Amino acid sequence: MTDRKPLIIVAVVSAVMTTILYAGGMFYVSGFLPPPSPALSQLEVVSFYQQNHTAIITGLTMAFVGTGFMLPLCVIGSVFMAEVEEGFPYFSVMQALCALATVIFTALPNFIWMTAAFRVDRSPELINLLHDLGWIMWATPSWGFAFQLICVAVIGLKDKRPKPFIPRWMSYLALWVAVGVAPTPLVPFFVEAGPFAWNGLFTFWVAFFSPILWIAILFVLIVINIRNNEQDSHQGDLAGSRL
Amino acid sequence: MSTVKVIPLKVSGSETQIVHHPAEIGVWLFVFADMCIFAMYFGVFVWEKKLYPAMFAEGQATLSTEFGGLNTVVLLISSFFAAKAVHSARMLNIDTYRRFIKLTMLCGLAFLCVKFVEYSDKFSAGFDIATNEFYRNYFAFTGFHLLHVILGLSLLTWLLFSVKTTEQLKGNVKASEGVGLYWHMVDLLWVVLFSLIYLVP
Repeated sequence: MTDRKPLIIVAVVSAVMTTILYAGGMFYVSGFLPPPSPALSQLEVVSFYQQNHTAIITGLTMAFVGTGFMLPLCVIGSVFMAEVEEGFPYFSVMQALCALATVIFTALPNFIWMTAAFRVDRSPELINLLHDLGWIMWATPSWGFAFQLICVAVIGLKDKRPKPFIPRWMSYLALWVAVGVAPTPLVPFFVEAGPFAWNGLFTFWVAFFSPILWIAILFVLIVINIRNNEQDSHQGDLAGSRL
Repeated sequence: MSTVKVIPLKVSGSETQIVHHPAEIGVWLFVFADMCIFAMYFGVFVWEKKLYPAMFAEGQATLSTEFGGLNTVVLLISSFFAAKAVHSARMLNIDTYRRFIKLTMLCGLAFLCVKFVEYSDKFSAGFDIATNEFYRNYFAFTGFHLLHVILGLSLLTWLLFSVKTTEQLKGNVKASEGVGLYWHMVDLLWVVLFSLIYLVP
Protein backbone atom coordinates (compact mmCIF):
# COMPACT_ATOMS: atom_id res chain seq x y z
CA MET A 1 0.00 0.00 0.00
CA THR A 2 1.48 3.32 -1.04
CA ASP A 3 1.44 6.31 1.21
CA ARG A 4 -1.83 8.15 0.62
CA LYS A 5 -1.03 11.44 2.21
CA PRO A 6 0.79 13.01 -0.78
CA LEU A 7 -2.08 11.99 -3.04
CA ILE A 8 -4.65 13.54 -0.73
CA ILE A 9 -2.62 16.74 -0.47
CA VAL A 10 -2.41 16.95 -4.28
CA ALA A 11 -6.20 16.45 -4.46
CA VAL A 12 -6.85 19.21 -1.94
CA VAL A 13 -4.46 21.62 -3.67
CA SER A 14 -6.06 20.84 -7.05
CA ALA A 15 -9.51 21.49 -5.67
CA VAL A 16 -8.37 24.84 -4.29
CA MET A 17 -6.69 25.79 -7.58
CA THR A 18 -9.77 24.85 -9.61
CA THR A 19 -12.03 26.87 -7.36
CA ILE A 20 -9.85 29.98 -7.27
CA LEU A 21 -9.05 30.01 -10.99
CA TYR A 22 -12.45 28.96 -12.31
CA ALA A 23 -14.66 30.92 -9.94
CA GLY A 24 -12.32 33.93 -10.06
CA GLY A 25 -12.07 33.87 -13.85
CA MET A 26 -15.74 33.27 -14.59
CA PHE A 27 -17.54 35.18 -11.82
CA TYR A 28 -15.12 37.97 -11.02
CA VAL A 29 -12.78 38.80 -13.90
CA SER A 30 -14.73 38.02 -17.07
CA GLY A 31 -18.25 38.33 -15.66
CA PHE A 32 -19.47 35.29 -17.63
CA LEU A 33 -21.12 33.76 -14.59
CA PRO A 34 -23.87 33.93 -13.60
CA PRO A 35 -24.78 33.52 -17.29
CA PRO A 36 -26.26 36.41 -19.27
CA SER A 37 -29.85 35.96 -20.41
CA PRO A 38 -30.24 34.14 -23.75
CA ALA A 39 -32.80 36.83 -24.62
CA LEU A 40 -30.17 39.62 -24.84
CA SER A 41 -30.28 41.58 -28.09
CA GLN A 42 -27.49 41.29 -30.66
CA LEU A 43 -26.33 44.78 -29.80
CA GLU A 44 -26.10 44.06 -26.08
CA VAL A 45 -24.04 40.95 -26.69
CA VAL A 46 -21.63 42.76 -29.01
CA SER A 47 -21.16 45.66 -26.61
CA PHE A 48 -20.47 43.18 -23.79
CA TYR A 49 -17.57 41.75 -25.79
CA GLN A 50 -16.34 45.16 -26.94
CA GLN A 51 -16.37 46.82 -23.56
CA ASN A 52 -14.80 43.95 -21.61
CA HIS A 53 -12.35 42.69 -24.24
CA THR A 54 -9.26 42.31 -22.02
CA ALA A 55 -11.14 41.24 -18.90
CA ILE A 56 -12.97 38.54 -20.89
CA ILE A 57 -9.79 37.04 -22.32
CA THR A 58 -8.00 37.19 -18.96
CA GLY A 59 -10.91 35.64 -17.06
CA LEU A 60 -11.53 32.90 -19.60
CA THR A 61 -7.83 32.00 -19.62
CA MET A 62 -7.81 31.71 -15.84
CA ALA A 63 -10.93 29.57 -15.99
CA PHE A 64 -9.62 27.07 -18.56
CA VAL A 65 -6.36 26.66 -16.65
CA GLY A 66 -8.50 26.08 -13.56
CA THR A 67 -10.50 23.31 -15.21
CA GLY A 68 -7.23 21.48 -15.92
CA PHE A 69 -6.73 21.06 -12.18
CA MET A 70 -9.91 18.99 -12.04
CA LEU A 71 -8.01 16.10 -13.65
CA PRO A 72 -5.51 15.32 -10.85
CA LEU A 73 -8.39 15.59 -8.41
CA CYS A 74 -10.61 13.13 -10.30
CA VAL A 75 -7.80 10.68 -11.05
CA ILE A 76 -6.88 10.55 -7.36
CA GLY A 77 -10.55 9.81 -6.69
CA SER A 78 -10.17 6.85 -9.06
CA VAL A 79 -7.10 5.63 -7.15
CA PHE A 80 -9.23 5.28 -4.05
CA MET A 81 -12.14 3.80 -5.98
CA ALA A 82 -9.97 1.17 -7.70
CA GLU A 83 -9.13 -0.42 -4.34
CA VAL A 84 -12.76 -1.41 -3.94
CA GLU A 85 -13.02 -3.07 -7.34
CA GLU A 86 -11.95 -6.60 -8.16
CA GLY A 87 -10.33 -7.35 -11.50
CA PHE A 88 -10.37 -4.60 -14.08
CA PRO A 89 -11.34 -1.38 -12.25
CA TYR A 90 -14.14 -0.55 -14.65
CA PHE A 91 -15.91 2.15 -12.63
CA SER A 92 -12.68 3.89 -11.67
CA VAL A 93 -11.48 4.07 -15.26
CA MET A 94 -14.94 5.18 -16.37
CA GLN A 95 -14.94 7.92 -13.74
CA ALA A 96 -11.54 9.22 -14.86
CA LEU A 97 -12.54 9.16 -18.55
CA CYS A 98 -15.78 11.00 -17.83
CA ALA A 99 -13.77 13.52 -15.84
CA LEU A 100 -11.83 14.19 -19.03
CA ALA A 101 -15.11 14.74 -20.88
CA THR A 102 -16.27 17.10 -18.15
CA VAL A 103 -13.02 19.07 -18.33
CA ILE A 104 -13.17 19.31 -22.12
CA PHE A 105 -16.79 20.43 -22.23
CA THR A 106 -16.16 22.93 -19.46
CA ALA A 107 -13.01 24.39 -21.04
CA LEU A 108 -13.90 24.31 -24.75
CA PRO A 109 -16.60 27.04 -24.60
CA ASN A 110 -13.97 29.36 -23.15
CA PHE A 111 -12.04 29.21 -26.43
CA ILE A 112 -15.19 29.88 -28.41
CA TRP A 113 -16.01 32.97 -26.33
CA MET A 114 -12.36 34.01 -26.59
CA THR A 115 -12.69 33.81 -30.37
CA ALA A 116 -15.71 36.10 -30.13
CA ALA A 117 -13.69 38.57 -28.06
CA PHE A 118 -10.57 38.15 -30.25
CA ARG A 119 -11.78 40.35 -33.15
CA VAL A 120 -14.56 42.49 -31.76
CA ASP A 121 -14.81 44.41 -35.04
CA ARG A 122 -16.19 41.37 -36.87
CA SER A 123 -19.84 41.37 -37.84
CA PRO A 124 -22.33 41.33 -34.92
CA GLU A 125 -24.06 38.19 -36.25
CA LEU A 126 -20.85 36.22 -35.98
CA ILE A 127 -20.15 37.42 -32.44
CA ASN A 128 -23.68 36.37 -31.51
CA LEU A 129 -23.22 33.01 -33.17
CA LEU A 130 -20.06 32.32 -31.19
CA HIS A 131 -21.72 33.56 -28.03
CA ASP A 132 -24.66 31.15 -28.47
CA LEU A 133 -22.41 28.28 -29.51
CA GLY A 134 -20.30 28.74 -26.40
CA TRP A 135 -23.27 28.90 -24.05
CA ILE A 136 -25.08 25.93 -25.51
CA MET A 137 -21.89 23.90 -25.34
CA TRP A 138 -21.27 25.02 -21.77
CA ALA A 139 -24.76 24.53 -20.38
CA THR A 140 -26.10 21.47 -22.22
CA PRO A 141 -23.75 18.49 -21.74
CA SER A 142 -24.04 17.17 -18.20
CA TRP A 143 -23.75 13.46 -18.97
CA GLY A 144 -19.99 13.28 -18.30
CA PHE A 145 -20.40 14.66 -14.84
CA ALA A 146 -23.52 12.60 -14.14
CA PHE A 147 -21.65 9.40 -15.13
CA GLN A 148 -18.75 10.38 -12.87
CA LEU A 149 -21.10 10.75 -9.93
CA ILE A 150 -22.89 7.49 -10.70
CA CYS A 151 -19.54 5.66 -10.81
CA VAL A 152 -18.51 7.20 -7.49
CA ALA A 153 -21.86 6.27 -5.96
CA VAL A 154 -21.76 2.68 -7.22
CA ILE A 155 -18.28 2.14 -5.80
CA GLY A 156 -19.15 4.02 -2.61
CA LEU A 157 -22.11 1.72 -2.03
CA LYS A 158 -20.11 -1.41 -2.94
CA ASP A 159 -17.41 -0.51 -0.44
CA LYS A 160 -18.11 -2.78 2.54
CA ARG A 161 -14.86 -2.12 4.41
CA PRO A 162 -15.15 -0.80 7.97
CA LYS A 163 -13.77 2.51 6.74
CA PRO A 164 -15.09 3.01 3.20
CA PHE A 165 -13.45 5.67 1.05
CA ILE A 166 -16.44 8.02 1.37
CA PRO A 167 -19.36 7.89 3.82
CA ARG A 168 -22.33 6.02 2.38
CA TRP A 169 -24.62 9.02 2.53
CA MET A 170 -22.20 10.86 0.22
CA SER A 171 -22.93 8.17 -2.41
CA TYR A 172 -26.65 8.83 -2.15
CA LEU A 173 -26.02 12.55 -2.32
CA ALA A 174 -23.92 11.94 -5.46
CA LEU A 175 -26.87 10.15 -7.04
CA TRP A 176 -29.07 13.11 -6.18
CA VAL A 177 -26.61 15.48 -7.89
CA ALA A 178 -26.61 13.20 -10.95
CA VAL A 179 -30.40 13.57 -11.04
CA GLY A 180 -30.14 17.30 -10.38
CA VAL A 181 -27.97 17.92 -13.45
CA ALA A 182 -30.25 15.81 -15.66
CA PRO A 183 -32.46 18.66 -17.02
CA THR A 184 -29.58 20.45 -18.80
CA PRO A 185 -30.35 18.87 -22.23
CA LEU A 186 -33.44 21.13 -22.25
CA VAL A 187 -31.26 24.25 -22.64
CA PRO A 188 -31.30 24.45 -26.47
CA PHE A 189 -35.12 24.58 -26.53
CA PHE A 190 -35.41 27.97 -24.88
CA VAL A 191 -34.32 31.27 -26.42
CA GLU A 192 -36.45 33.13 -23.88
CA ALA A 193 -35.25 33.40 -20.30
CA GLY A 194 -36.99 30.94 -17.98
CA PRO A 195 -36.31 28.11 -15.53
CA PHE A 196 -34.80 25.90 -18.27
CA ALA A 197 -32.86 28.52 -20.22
CA TRP A 198 -29.05 28.46 -19.94
CA ASN A 199 -29.28 30.92 -17.04
CA GLY A 200 -32.38 29.25 -15.59
CA LEU A 201 -33.20 28.08 -12.10
CA PHE A 202 -32.90 24.36 -12.91
CA THR A 203 -30.38 24.34 -15.73
CA PHE A 204 -27.95 26.78 -14.15
CA TRP A 205 -28.59 27.43 -10.46
CA VAL A 206 -29.47 23.86 -9.47
CA ALA A 207 -27.35 22.09 -12.10
CA PHE A 208 -24.25 24.18 -11.38
CA PHE A 209 -24.45 24.56 -7.63
CA SER A 210 -25.60 21.06 -6.60
CA PRO A 211 -22.30 19.53 -7.87
CA ILE A 212 -20.42 22.34 -6.16
CA LEU A 213 -22.27 21.62 -2.93
CA TRP A 214 -21.28 17.95 -3.20
CA ILE A 215 -17.64 18.74 -3.92
CA ALA A 216 -17.55 21.29 -1.11
CA ILE A 217 -18.88 18.72 1.39
CA LEU A 218 -16.32 16.18 0.12
CA PHE A 219 -13.60 18.77 0.52
CA VAL A 220 -14.58 19.53 4.11
CA LEU A 221 -14.73 15.80 4.92
CA ILE A 222 -11.26 15.22 3.43
CA VAL A 223 -9.77 18.10 5.40
CA ILE A 224 -11.39 16.91 8.64
CA ASN A 225 -10.08 13.44 7.90
CA ILE A 226 -6.52 14.64 7.36
CA ARG A 227 -6.65 16.39 10.71
CA ASN A 228 -8.15 13.41 12.53
CA ASN A 229 -5.76 10.89 11.01
CA GLU A 230 -2.47 12.61 11.73
CA GLN A 231 -0.85 9.44 13.09
CA ASP A 232 -2.79 6.27 12.24
CA SER A 233 -2.13 4.86 8.79
CA HIS A 234 -5.61 4.59 7.35
CA GLN A 235 -6.78 2.18 4.74
CA GLY A 236 -9.27 3.21 2.09
CA ASP A 237 -10.74 6.08 4.01
CA LEU A 238 -10.54 9.26 1.92
CA ALA A 239 -13.22 11.44 3.40
CA GLY A 240 -14.01 10.73 7.03
CA SER A 241 -16.25 7.73 6.54
CA ARG A 242 -17.12 7.66 10.23
CA LEU A 243 -18.92 10.97 9.99
CA MET B 1 -48.06 -4.51 13.46
CA SER B 2 -47.35 -7.63 15.46
CA THR B 3 -45.51 -9.02 12.44
CA VAL B 4 -42.84 -6.34 12.80
CA LYS B 5 -41.92 -7.70 16.19
CA VAL B 6 -41.26 -11.13 14.70
CA ILE B 7 -38.32 -9.80 12.69
CA PRO B 8 -35.71 -9.61 15.45
CA LEU B 9 -35.90 -13.40 15.79
CA LYS B 10 -35.14 -13.90 12.12
CA VAL B 11 -32.57 -11.21 11.35
CA SER B 12 -29.88 -11.28 13.93
CA GLY B 13 -27.63 -8.35 14.70
CA SER B 14 -29.39 -5.37 13.21
CA GLU B 15 -32.92 -5.99 14.40
CA THR B 16 -33.43 -2.67 16.19
CA GLN B 17 -32.27 -0.81 13.10
CA ILE B 18 -34.73 -2.64 10.89
CA VAL B 19 -37.65 -2.01 13.21
CA HIS B 20 -37.01 1.66 13.81
CA HIS B 21 -35.27 2.99 10.69
CA PRO B 22 -36.41 1.55 7.40
CA ALA B 23 -33.74 2.06 4.69
CA GLU B 24 -30.42 3.83 5.11
CA ILE B 25 -30.10 7.42 6.25
CA GLY B 26 -28.57 8.22 2.82
CA VAL B 27 -31.77 7.22 1.03
CA TRP B 28 -33.72 9.60 3.24
CA LEU B 29 -31.19 12.30 2.42
CA PHE B 30 -31.67 11.60 -1.29
CA VAL B 31 -35.46 11.70 -0.91
CA PHE B 32 -35.30 14.98 1.00
CA ALA B 33 -32.95 16.63 -1.50
CA ASP B 34 -34.95 15.38 -4.49
CA MET B 35 -38.19 16.64 -2.99
CA CYS B 36 -36.55 20.04 -2.61
CA ILE B 37 -36.02 20.14 -6.39
CA PHE B 38 -39.63 19.11 -6.96
CA ALA B 39 -40.76 21.75 -4.46
CA MET B 40 -39.00 24.28 -6.68
CA TYR B 41 -40.88 22.85 -9.70
CA PHE B 42 -44.17 23.30 -7.91
CA GLY B 43 -43.13 26.81 -6.91
CA VAL B 44 -42.24 27.74 -10.51
CA PHE B 45 -45.53 26.30 -11.74
CA VAL B 46 -47.64 28.23 -9.21
CA TRP B 47 -45.66 31.41 -9.84
CA GLU B 48 -46.06 31.27 -13.59
CA LYS B 49 -49.70 30.32 -13.27
CA LYS B 50 -50.17 33.62 -11.46
CA LEU B 51 -48.31 35.46 -14.21
CA TYR B 52 -50.25 33.88 -17.12
CA PRO B 53 -53.62 32.74 -15.76
CA ALA B 54 -55.34 32.61 -19.17
CA MET B 55 -52.58 30.58 -20.84
CA PHE B 56 -52.49 28.08 -17.98
CA ALA B 57 -56.26 27.65 -17.89
CA GLU B 58 -56.29 27.09 -21.64
CA GLY B 59 -53.41 24.63 -21.46
CA GLN B 60 -54.94 22.71 -18.58
CA ALA B 61 -58.16 22.29 -20.55
CA THR B 62 -56.26 20.41 -23.28
CA LEU B 63 -54.77 17.89 -20.84
CA SER B 64 -56.40 14.51 -20.45
CA THR B 65 -57.45 13.92 -16.85
CA GLU B 66 -58.36 10.37 -17.90
CA PHE B 67 -54.75 9.49 -18.72
CA GLY B 68 -53.47 11.42 -15.71
CA GLY B 69 -56.00 9.83 -13.39
CA LEU B 70 -55.31 6.37 -14.77
CA ASN B 71 -51.61 6.88 -14.10
CA THR B 72 -52.37 8.04 -10.57
CA VAL B 73 -54.31 4.86 -9.90
CA VAL B 74 -51.59 2.74 -11.51
CA LEU B 75 -48.90 4.30 -9.34
CA LEU B 76 -50.96 4.05 -6.15
CA ILE B 77 -51.47 0.33 -6.82
CA SER B 78 -47.77 -0.06 -7.56
CA SER B 79 -46.97 1.59 -4.24
CA PHE B 80 -49.16 -0.97 -2.52
CA PHE B 81 -47.24 -3.77 -4.27
CA ALA B 82 -43.93 -2.13 -3.33
CA ALA B 83 -45.00 -1.99 0.31
CA LYS B 84 -46.00 -5.66 0.10
CA ALA B 85 -42.58 -6.48 -1.40
CA VAL B 86 -40.77 -4.69 1.40
CA HIS B 87 -42.92 -6.50 3.92
CA SER B 88 -42.08 -9.87 2.35
CA ALA B 89 -38.42 -8.90 2.37
CA ARG B 90 -38.60 -8.34 6.12
CA MET B 91 -40.32 -11.69 6.51
CA LEU B 92 -37.58 -13.20 4.30
CA ASN B 93 -40.25 -14.69 2.07
CA ILE B 94 -38.45 -14.87 -1.27
CA ASP B 95 -41.36 -16.10 -3.39
CA THR B 96 -43.87 -13.41 -2.45
CA TYR B 97 -41.04 -10.88 -2.51
CA ARG B 98 -40.20 -11.62 -6.13
CA ARG B 99 -43.87 -11.74 -7.09
CA PHE B 100 -44.54 -8.29 -5.64
CA ILE B 101 -41.38 -6.83 -7.18
CA LYS B 102 -42.62 -8.07 -10.57
CA LEU B 103 -46.09 -6.65 -9.96
CA THR B 104 -44.59 -3.28 -9.01
CA MET B 105 -42.53 -3.32 -12.19
CA LEU B 106 -45.60 -4.19 -14.21
CA CYS B 107 -47.40 -1.12 -12.85
CA GLY B 108 -44.32 1.01 -13.58
CA LEU B 109 -44.28 -0.24 -17.16
CA ALA B 110 -48.02 0.46 -17.45
CA PHE B 111 -47.30 4.02 -16.31
CA LEU B 112 -44.68 4.36 -19.07
CA CYS B 113 -47.13 3.10 -21.70
CA VAL B 114 -49.89 5.51 -20.63
CA LYS B 115 -47.38 8.36 -20.59
CA PHE B 116 -46.19 7.39 -24.08
CA VAL B 117 -49.76 7.47 -25.42
CA GLU B 118 -50.44 10.75 -23.64
CA TYR B 119 -47.29 12.43 -24.94
CA SER B 120 -47.83 11.27 -28.52
CA ASP B 121 -51.40 12.54 -28.25
CA LYS B 122 -50.06 15.97 -27.31
CA PHE B 123 -47.36 15.92 -30.00
CA SER B 124 -49.84 15.03 -32.72
CA ALA B 125 -52.12 17.84 -31.50
CA GLY B 126 -49.20 20.18 -32.18
CA PHE B 127 -48.06 20.89 -28.63
CA ASP B 128 -44.45 20.49 -27.56
CA ILE B 129 -42.05 21.75 -24.95
CA ALA B 130 -41.42 25.04 -26.79
CA THR B 131 -45.12 25.88 -27.36
CA ASN B 132 -45.55 28.15 -24.33
CA GLU B 133 -44.83 28.41 -20.61
CA PHE B 134 -47.60 26.02 -19.66
CA TYR B 135 -46.43 23.27 -22.01
CA ARG B 136 -42.81 23.86 -21.09
CA ASN B 137 -43.68 23.18 -17.46
CA TYR B 138 -45.99 20.30 -18.32
CA PHE B 139 -43.43 18.45 -20.44
CA ALA B 140 -40.38 19.31 -18.34
CA PHE B 141 -41.90 18.45 -14.95
CA THR B 142 -43.75 15.31 -15.98
CA GLY B 143 -40.72 14.32 -18.08
CA PHE B 144 -38.42 14.71 -15.10
CA HIS B 145 -40.85 12.64 -13.08
CA LEU B 146 -40.87 10.04 -15.85
CA LEU B 147 -37.08 9.88 -15.57
CA HIS B 148 -37.58 9.04 -11.90
CA VAL B 149 -39.99 6.24 -12.80
CA ILE B 150 -37.44 4.82 -15.27
CA LEU B 151 -34.75 5.03 -12.58
CA GLY B 152 -37.05 3.22 -10.17
CA LEU B 153 -37.73 0.51 -12.74
CA SER B 154 -33.98 0.06 -13.21
CA LEU B 155 -33.54 -0.34 -9.46
CA LEU B 156 -36.38 -2.89 -9.32
CA THR B 157 -34.83 -4.79 -12.23
CA TRP B 158 -31.54 -4.83 -10.36
CA LEU B 159 -33.28 -6.27 -7.28
CA LEU B 160 -35.05 -8.86 -9.40
CA PHE B 161 -31.77 -10.05 -10.91
CA SER B 162 -29.62 -9.91 -7.80
CA VAL B 163 -32.05 -11.37 -5.26
CA LYS B 164 -33.02 -14.93 -6.14
CA THR B 165 -32.56 -16.89 -2.93
CA THR B 166 -33.49 -16.36 0.72
CA GLU B 167 -29.79 -16.04 1.43
CA GLN B 168 -29.46 -13.15 -1.05
CA LEU B 169 -32.64 -11.59 0.31
CA LYS B 170 -31.15 -11.53 3.81
CA GLY B 171 -28.39 -9.23 2.59
CA ASN B 172 -30.79 -7.03 0.66
CA VAL B 173 -33.52 -6.14 3.15
CA LYS B 174 -32.11 -2.63 3.60
CA ALA B 175 -31.69 -2.21 -0.14
CA SER B 176 -35.29 -3.31 -0.73
CA GLU B 177 -36.50 -0.84 1.87
CA GLY B 178 -34.47 1.87 0.13
CA VAL B 179 -35.95 1.08 -3.28
CA GLY B 180 -39.41 0.88 -1.72
CA LEU B 181 -38.97 4.27 -0.09
CA TYR B 182 -37.80 5.75 -3.39
CA TRP B 183 -40.78 4.24 -5.19
CA HIS B 184 -43.21 5.74 -2.66
CA MET B 185 -41.59 9.13 -3.18
CA VAL B 186 -42.05 8.83 -6.95
CA ASP B 187 -45.70 7.94 -6.36
CA LEU B 188 -46.23 10.83 -3.94
CA LEU B 189 -44.62 13.32 -6.33
CA TRP B 190 -46.89 12.15 -9.14
CA VAL B 191 -49.97 12.67 -6.98
CA VAL B 192 -48.89 16.27 -6.32
CA LEU B 193 -47.94 16.85 -9.98
CA PHE B 194 -51.24 15.41 -11.15
CA SER B 195 -53.31 17.58 -8.85
CA LEU B 196 -51.26 20.68 -9.58
CA ILE B 197 -51.03 20.43 -13.37
CA TYR B 198 -54.23 18.58 -14.31
CA LEU B 199 -56.76 19.38 -11.60
CA VAL B 200 -56.28 22.62 -9.67
CA PRO B 201 -58.37 25.24 -11.49
